[in-house]
Amino acid sequence: MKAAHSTRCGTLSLRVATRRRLVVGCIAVAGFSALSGVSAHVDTPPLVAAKVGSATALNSASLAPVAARYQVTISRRDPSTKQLRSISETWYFQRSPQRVTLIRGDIEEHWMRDERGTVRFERVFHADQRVVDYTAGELTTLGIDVSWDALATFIDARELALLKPAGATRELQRFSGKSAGRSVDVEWSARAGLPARLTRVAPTGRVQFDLLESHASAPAAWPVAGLRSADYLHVDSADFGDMEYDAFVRKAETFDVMAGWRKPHAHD
Amino acid sequence: MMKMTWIAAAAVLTGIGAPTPSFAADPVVQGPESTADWYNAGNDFITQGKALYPNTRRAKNIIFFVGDGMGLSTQTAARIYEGQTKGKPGEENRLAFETLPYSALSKTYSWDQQTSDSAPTMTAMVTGYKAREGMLSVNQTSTRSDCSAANNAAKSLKTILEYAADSGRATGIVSTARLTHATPAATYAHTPVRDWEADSNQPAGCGVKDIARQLIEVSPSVRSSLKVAMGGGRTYFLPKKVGANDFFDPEYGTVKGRRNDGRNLTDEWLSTRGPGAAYVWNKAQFDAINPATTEHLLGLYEPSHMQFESDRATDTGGEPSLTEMTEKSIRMLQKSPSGFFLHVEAGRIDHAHHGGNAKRALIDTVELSNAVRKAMEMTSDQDTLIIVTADHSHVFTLAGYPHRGNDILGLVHDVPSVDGQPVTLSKDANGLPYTTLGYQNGPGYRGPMARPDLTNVDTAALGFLQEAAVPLGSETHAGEDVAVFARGPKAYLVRGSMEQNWIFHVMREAFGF
Repeated sequence: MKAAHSTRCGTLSLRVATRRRLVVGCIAVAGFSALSGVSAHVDTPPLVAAKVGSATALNSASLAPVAARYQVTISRRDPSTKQLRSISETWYFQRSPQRVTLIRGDIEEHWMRDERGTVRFERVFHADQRVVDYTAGELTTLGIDVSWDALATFIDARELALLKPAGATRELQRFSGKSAGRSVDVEWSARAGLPARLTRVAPTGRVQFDLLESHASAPAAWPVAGLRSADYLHVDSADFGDMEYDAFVRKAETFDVMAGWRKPHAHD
Repeated sequence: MMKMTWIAAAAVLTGIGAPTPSFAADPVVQGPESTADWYNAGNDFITQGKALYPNTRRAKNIIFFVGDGMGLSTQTAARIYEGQTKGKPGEENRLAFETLPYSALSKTYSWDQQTSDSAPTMTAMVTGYKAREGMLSVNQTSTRSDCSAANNAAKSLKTILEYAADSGRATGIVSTARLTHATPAATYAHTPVRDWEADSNQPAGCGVKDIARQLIEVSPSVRSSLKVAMGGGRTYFLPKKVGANDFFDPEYGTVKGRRNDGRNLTDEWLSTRGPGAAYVWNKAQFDAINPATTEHLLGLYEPSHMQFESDRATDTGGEPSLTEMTEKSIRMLQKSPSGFFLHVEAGRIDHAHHGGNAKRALIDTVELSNAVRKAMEMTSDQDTLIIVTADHSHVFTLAGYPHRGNDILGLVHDVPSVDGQPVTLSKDANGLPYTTLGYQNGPGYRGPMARPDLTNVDTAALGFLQEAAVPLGSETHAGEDVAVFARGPKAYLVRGSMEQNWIFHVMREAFGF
């Protein structure tokens, strides 16, 4: 089932029409709904035509530390029946100036940057008690163009620039349009500095993120990033090619492939 | 008949002054050679060969270079790439090690693998025995994942580095991969699992020492002789925690050490190797090392593997090149009156190929050639045996019928079938162009839909992934033979078709063991 999730996620992952792949695994799939305010699941609020800032202004929103819980609904069209099949997951997102973390089920994704701005990535597999390390050099080799803003806000300024303002309420700004051949709809919560709802629709399916609650710091009841994995075995992703005998490596590699990382670049 | 220079031909290729096709027209693709050049070059080759004599002396020194994953196709493509970076057609170019006088083909299968990984292949070359997949310098009777220290000791195979140490020679290890990675590790470590690089990689209570620890806790003779060890893999030598506090890498502030035992093996290097010992982790520190006064140098330049040569200039802390590490190592080892053994690995050719990324692989291969050239300059073929080989190949190919001087990273352009006509793109059965370089499998797969149109794609871009026929997340090794080149004492024993483990016996014979 985990692989199936990643497939759905990867199928809809963001690909930007540049030489390099943008952003991060499944974080890049995002889309939000709901409200900024603290907590509470909120239905899509009425949107009014109002003055809104430019799309790119969204990323200038405060990147204050935040902990957010999302409901993520992933719908994939069955190739044979053409029916949409959906699953719903709870994702925990945490942002600090030097770290962005996503926890979803047995998988954690950690993006870290040091004081020089060098970014590296870890993907934690709790079921296997393993962590895969992606060094800055390996990310470069994989063609990953890391945008910290995109990691920290779920959407990249270059993509936002492609969208058009579509109304606003007191707390939300809405943008919609097309990006990389997919329909994208964003309801931005300036208060959370995150999308309250983000929806991406592709011919193969649909992903929708709904913000359920957000806080300045994670409530005690939430899973703690990095806690369980402190003693896990680490694997360097650069070694995947020399570790094909390892079933875990083949599984971890699948996550990369589905995120579009170990594939030819978009320019061809 | 060949009136045009290569540059003139290039002008024609770009459409400048394209001649009208006719039976009398000159071919638009021409090499720079005159007809006499071909004969004269062949004659020179014979003259040089006739002047060769078997150097039957014992070797004072051996330098053993390994290009990890440097199959023959990689060697050919790198040769052309280097030549083209010098403004030449490229095919006539020779990498430094291709000028060595003796060569052979090496059969790379292992005891249990038709196509091998780096562990048994390097084991074969440094111990003389073919071995099992994933095992380092232990014999084929070893049991996978056996944690028994006694069994490991009983099945350990003595390496050429250990023989050299026991004979009083100085020794050294250089790699652009982690020092604990299979190829360099096989020279000093004995383990049934190549992945046991730090204790955190091992089962709890495992009696076999992890590989990083083995580098520090080597035999007394190796401890004395191992004058230089440089490469990547720093975190395998550093603790996860010191007391209750996380221990962070000095170059990347978010990266922690990997050792569960709390030991800082870089400190132990300094404490166990005497007052002349040094530990460095960046280029500035490397540059500050004086080979004349440094007795034991440990250099660990990245938490894991070092950067690809193409990316080295942008490294946060700065790294020496393979050539620079080779040069400094030789300077340190040449202080030994008894001679030395040095192993140098270009470890990242393999990684670039696994990533389906030919350009990085070729650049690292050219850098290996530079390192060999430096070693050739710094040593005499009268007393120093230099061997250059690969541990295994990759499923990497040069395809089609590209014309002389065609960009090795570019699309295939044929030789025109009618003289005077311009070159044109070669097309597949669907009318689409394709690159010279490609892979039989790997991440470069473009299916399942039709092949992409590469006409306007920059296939020479650093990050371009060459097309692959079979979709795999990582491209794989290949099973065909690799080349061996040699010069110096007993180099003449490198000949014909060799089993890979016979390379050890050439070195053993050269040292006189």
